[in-house]
Amino acid sequence: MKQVTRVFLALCLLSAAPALAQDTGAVWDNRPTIVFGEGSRIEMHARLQSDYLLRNEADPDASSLSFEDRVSVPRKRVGVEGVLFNRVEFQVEGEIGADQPWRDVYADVKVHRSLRVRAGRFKVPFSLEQLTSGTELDFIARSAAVTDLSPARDIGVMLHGRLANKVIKYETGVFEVDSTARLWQTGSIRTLAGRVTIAPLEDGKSRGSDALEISAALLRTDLPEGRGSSSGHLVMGDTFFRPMFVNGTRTRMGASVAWNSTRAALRAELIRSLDTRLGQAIDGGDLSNLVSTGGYVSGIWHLAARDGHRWGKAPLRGLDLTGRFDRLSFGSASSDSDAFLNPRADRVAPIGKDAWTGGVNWYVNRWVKVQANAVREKLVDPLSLLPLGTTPVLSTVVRFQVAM
Amino acid sequence: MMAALSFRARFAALALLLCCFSTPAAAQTQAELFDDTTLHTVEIVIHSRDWSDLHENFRTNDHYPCDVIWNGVRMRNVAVRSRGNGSRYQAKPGLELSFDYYASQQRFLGLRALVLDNLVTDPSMIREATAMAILRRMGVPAPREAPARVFVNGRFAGVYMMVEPVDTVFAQKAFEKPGLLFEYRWVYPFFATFPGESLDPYATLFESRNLGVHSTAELYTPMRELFRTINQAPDGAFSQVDQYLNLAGLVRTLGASTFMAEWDGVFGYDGMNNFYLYRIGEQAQLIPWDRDQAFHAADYPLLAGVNVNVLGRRMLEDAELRAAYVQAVTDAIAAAESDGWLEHEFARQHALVREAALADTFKPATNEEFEQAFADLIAFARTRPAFVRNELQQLK
Repeated sequence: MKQVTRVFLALCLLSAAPALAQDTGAVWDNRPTIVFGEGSRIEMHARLQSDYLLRNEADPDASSLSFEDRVSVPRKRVGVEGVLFNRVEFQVEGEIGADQPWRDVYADVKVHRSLRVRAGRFKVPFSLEQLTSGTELDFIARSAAVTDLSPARDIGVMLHGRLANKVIKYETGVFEVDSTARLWQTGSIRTLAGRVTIAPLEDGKSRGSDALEISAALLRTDLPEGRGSSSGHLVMGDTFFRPMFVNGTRTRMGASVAWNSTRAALRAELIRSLDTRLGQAIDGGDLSNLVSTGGYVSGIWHLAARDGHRWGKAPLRGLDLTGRFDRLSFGSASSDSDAFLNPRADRVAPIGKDAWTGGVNWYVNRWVKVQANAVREKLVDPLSLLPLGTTPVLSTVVRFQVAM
Repeated sequence: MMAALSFRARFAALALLLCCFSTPAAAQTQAELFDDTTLHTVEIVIHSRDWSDLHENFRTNDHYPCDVIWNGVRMRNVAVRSRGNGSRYQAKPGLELSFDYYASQQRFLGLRALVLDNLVTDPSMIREATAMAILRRMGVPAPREAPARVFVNGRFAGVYMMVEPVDTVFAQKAFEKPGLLFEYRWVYPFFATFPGESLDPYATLFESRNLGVHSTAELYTPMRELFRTINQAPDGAFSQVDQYLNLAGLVRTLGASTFMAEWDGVFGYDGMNNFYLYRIGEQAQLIPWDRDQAFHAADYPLLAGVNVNVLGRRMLEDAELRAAYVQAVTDAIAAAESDGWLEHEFARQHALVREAALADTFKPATNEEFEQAFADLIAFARTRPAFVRNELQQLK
């Protein structure tokens, strides 16, 4: 973290020159805000999410859980974000009580109208859903493909900006995956990331009336020898696909499309990951690539708009109905031997998970949101290798969120 | 040549060839695997890094993939892990081969797993197998065992004992009914006192070894009632425990174990240890496990450990059960003495493993200790029956 702090401070100092403070003071702008003249401000924010487990058919003891055991607090974050001298944006956010408290810790410097440089700890530009803030998600949990195949935050440096009248957005960077060696040191484990987004309607608007975004992303990550492949999980955390032995590189490709209108929104994303497994057979030979594939299609219907406008007879303001189908599957490039699930199998047996999610989001006011999701998951195990069985299981969770 | 043969002759030759090539794999059976008149050879093919990691992390239960070759049959997609409690040993790790770990339906000769006991707590290397043989002679369901030389990636890794694991396959075959299996886990000295109303201590002491999904209440409510009844059944009505634990089977096992001077079993010196419970309906059956501490002293008191255990003490206070126990010990003596069976069995097994054991440089005991341990067993076989008979007189 020391390195991140150094980079952050350096970027702040570099950008300090042009500014002169004008109106200064503390104001309330939906959250506590300190203004330093025209081009500088610091906003404080806090987020709290609390979940209540209504039903979990995968846990035979779920029905006898106490109230305390049903309640969890997945997020309790505080942080500051802001802009300095109209040139440097920054964010520092931490999770209270976590072993690794830091979430986003970065500075983002505007070099040119179409070029910005971000350094620190932040989300790797890859998945649309992963890049969406946890408080802005339309569902309580991200899809399995995104959770298990997409990277989250790492320490790195990224160039990004918008081109062609903001129609094209680009992000490219390098990140350190493992803190045992720093990004610039020999032997560090790096991810090279690139993401391009085209927003052809409304001058690049990604939200609002008839906004459309189409993205493609590519990651290439060093993969040290070990049991480090992707794994597969059910929404309640149970593992249905354990990591395989890998060695070499991981290549991840992603594509997404998002369409937002005033009444509805549609999103879809597809992710494919290829892990090389050099020298990982039990006799020391090479294994075929591990192939992990996943994606989702989701839709949101704004039953009642957040600004108070109501369509039809919707009784509440800020009410959404949501639905999603997502799939995550694992296999391998080889098809010329017996299919197994052991972590050194050449031909990996096809294993996957399908999930249907239905839900309701109620935006009580600007700060408070209540979500309810029911998830029906079914394992896909054509060779009957898993002890879990393929009977669909249903889980239901209600989330209460306060974000400021 | 072939062209000169008739079609019928060529067909017959082809059929004969097919028969010759298909016979060996199909002929293997569990009885052959646990044939204890042979020193078997088991080969394990494993990634060299995994074998190294297994040694390094020998205290964990991490699984590693491997192939296993026995008697010309190669079993793929097998998981191997370090196993044991007090027998965990880095230079010669105890091993468990799981055939269903990576594929829930996969079996090897009908087995879900196979234990390779590293024999490091028994310098003679034959106590465990002989103890299980006595139990089987007395009609107690007990694992079958056979010695094996184990090779890993072509290198000799030591003499091991192949042990039939106590799992749902074993239990269902032994008791001919489906049930729920629990392995007793030694976590603190436990002498069958009542652990209380919460189900948590029962889940700690009795690890569920069942496939499928079961609620805590389904698994452990009868277990709580078992220990409640052991402790709270009125005097003179201890037979109420039979509703939850087959007392006839327990007495039979106890009779054999106390004859064998087993001090680390159900009535162990440091609390209960080394057994499974297989529950059919409400009633559990006791299955013995890990008898490598058997035969440790010919003059070990018959009831050592029994009276400090609530189950043992109350069982022997019941006249009918005490009589059954005396009969079980008497039967054990007879099983051991009949035609000098026990002494012959020690000598036969010793001869079977001796050459490989002397070459086993991974065993913690020296070759001199190995030979001395065998001599001690012979002395045990010759003197234990008289000592036990004398103890029985006092009990009667």
